[in-house]
Amino acid sequence: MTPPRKKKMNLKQRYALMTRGLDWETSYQKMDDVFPYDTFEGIKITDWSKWEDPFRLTMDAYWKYQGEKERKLYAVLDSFAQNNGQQGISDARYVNAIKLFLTGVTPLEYQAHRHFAHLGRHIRGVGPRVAAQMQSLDELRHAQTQIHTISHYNKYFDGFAEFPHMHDRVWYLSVPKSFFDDACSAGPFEFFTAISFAFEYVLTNLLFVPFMSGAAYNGDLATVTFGFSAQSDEARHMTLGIEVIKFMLEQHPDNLPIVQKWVDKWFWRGHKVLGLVAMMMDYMLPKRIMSWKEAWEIYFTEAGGALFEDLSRYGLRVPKYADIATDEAEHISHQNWAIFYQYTQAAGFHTWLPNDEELDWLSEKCPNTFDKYYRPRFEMWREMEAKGERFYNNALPQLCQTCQIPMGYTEPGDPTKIGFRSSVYKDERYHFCSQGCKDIFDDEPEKFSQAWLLVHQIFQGNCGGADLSDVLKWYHMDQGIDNMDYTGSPDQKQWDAWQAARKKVAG
Amino acid sequence: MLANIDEEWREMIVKYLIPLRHYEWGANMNACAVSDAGYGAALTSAMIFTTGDRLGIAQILSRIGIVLSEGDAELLGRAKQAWMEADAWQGVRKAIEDSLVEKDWFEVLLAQFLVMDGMVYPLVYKHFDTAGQKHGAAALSILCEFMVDWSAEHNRWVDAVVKTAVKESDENRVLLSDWYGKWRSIMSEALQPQAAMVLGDGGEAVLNEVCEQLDARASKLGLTL
Ligand SMILES: [Fe+2]
Ligand SMILES: [Fe+2]
Ligand SMILES: [Zn+2]
Repeated sequence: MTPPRKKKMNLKQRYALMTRGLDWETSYQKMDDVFPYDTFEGIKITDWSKWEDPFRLTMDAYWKYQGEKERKLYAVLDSFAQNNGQQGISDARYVNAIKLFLTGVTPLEYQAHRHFAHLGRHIRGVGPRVAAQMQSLDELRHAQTQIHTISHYNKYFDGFAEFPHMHDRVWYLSVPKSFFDDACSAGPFEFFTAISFAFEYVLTNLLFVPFMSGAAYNGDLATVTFGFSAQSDEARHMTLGIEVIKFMLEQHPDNLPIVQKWVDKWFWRGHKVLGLVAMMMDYMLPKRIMSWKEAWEIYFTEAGGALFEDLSRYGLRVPKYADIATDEAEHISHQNWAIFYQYTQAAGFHTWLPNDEELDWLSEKCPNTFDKYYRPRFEMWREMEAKGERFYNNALPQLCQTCQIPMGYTEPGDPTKIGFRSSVYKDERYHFCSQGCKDIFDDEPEKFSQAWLLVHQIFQGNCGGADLSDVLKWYHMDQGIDNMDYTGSPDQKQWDAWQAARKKVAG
Repeated sequence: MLANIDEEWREMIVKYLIPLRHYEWGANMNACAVSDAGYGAALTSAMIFTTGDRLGIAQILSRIGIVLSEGDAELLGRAKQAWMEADAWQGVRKAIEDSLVEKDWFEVLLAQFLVMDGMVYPLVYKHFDTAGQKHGAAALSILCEFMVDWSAEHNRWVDAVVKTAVKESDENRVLLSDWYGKWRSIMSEALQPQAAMVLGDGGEAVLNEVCEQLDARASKLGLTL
């Protein structure tokens, strides 16, 4: 008689053995001591085994795919360098968008790597723990490939060389930095909600689609390539984000109010950080793809609307102040670019005023606001420039205690009035750019009252001195090279020389 | 491929090798802990790659278990039971669990990657593997080749890290030597039943040899024994 045939395992069972099957209930040490961080936030997980793995990637497959991808990436980069790809971009002004990305976003990839390692060690459920470990690897690779790609631009353009140093010090870089520091100093479930869900699921298309199509439109093949290489990883990150949210909501009804509060908070924080991307899309791309307002409509109003419709069955509602953020989509880029124009002397990239054609494009894209509130200001600044009286703002701005952006935003419904809010905590008054930022502070005043705000630090004498030149030195920015207007910059001279040489050859 | 292994040794593999997938999972957690809490990209970046490598090794061991089990989970279940309950494994499991609650990330690094791995890898992938050759286990050596190559490479990194830290100051040397002594004695005891189970009477001598070689490596790194 032949022995009974063994039952073959399906993929799901096999994957379970390769991951959660490795885990055990510790007995020489208490599980709560082995996993000390996953309960204090109040999120109740009654049964981790209910977690459904959204993807099944074993390590050998991971190394194989990533290795192949990276080989292709480096081949493209080599040919970009050999063919002087930097000369084939639309215009050298474009490079300033890349400067903002490398100094502002790439360090966040690295922070994401560090903190997903925290989750990869400390989340009790093996499914999300393994997913977090792989994401930690992904984010480290993203930081590395971005630095590698962008290092080529550093050979020809200013403003790149000191990116990690600048990330820790420069006023506008403290906006993305403090956003991530906030997430990394929160508990693991809040971090998942902040980064995996709010940032990578809800808002990611507003960062990566504009950025990558902007790069493609403007002839920046190097950036397009690292974008594509990250895309398959991002698909995994997004699924992790949505699955964690659903899992928390399915596990216990007490989780809903906690998750809702985090969704509200991180939506608002993300909206403010993305104001930098809005500015990039509306002002910094020599060849435009779509306006920030259009991107917001497609990727938040429509896609986000459908998402929250779907999540309503768990009781989750659209983030608080989504309506205000939507109204601001026709304001935020103009207000931000105006801030950078006024403070160009302290920025690590170049600024400029939009030309006639660009002004008309902005009028067309923001018909409700641009001609009425913003065009006159840019035209006035243009006249001042013509008279040799270019406007610089030499006063240090007040910063929002929560988002750290200079308080230049206006009241909802009244674009002629700057929006101020404040709260008193332990006898000190703190200032905010908006009700959203005030609410966040009021919920965690002990945390946000400790925020590192550059302007305060300058006044306290912690930034190299009191003069602009002292602070620039402390930033590692070279006066007249890394900062100020594009017109007259070494970047421009270099670019014009390339164009002249081309004409000669074509001549 | 594994069909040539005799019945008796197959049983032995389930006892000594397959439970190590849980040891690897512990090492994965420890690498991830160092990547999380450590200071300096030279250490933390390397440790997240190690995190992935140790999960990969745990998965290689799991696949070996599934193949030996002709496609089902039965042997993995028995190996897990051994990890949880068999006397021979309790010392190692306790050492791993103790390392998981250790708060000093450098002690975790030293305990896991210098001491525990420094004994487990040569004992299992060299000495136990050699013993298996008499039982037709040549194919198993091929399946474990990755672990041998991987640890040779990883040890160079571990040695460089420990050496640098020892050189930094006398206080470092004293502290690291202390930790080394503590984990060395825990592990040399924990592995005795393993060595006896697989190598019988010869086990003790082999384990002593493994410990001596690790001591020699540690002295070279500047640790005081
Ligand atoms: Fe990333
Ligand atoms: Fe990501
Ligand atoms: Zn604010």
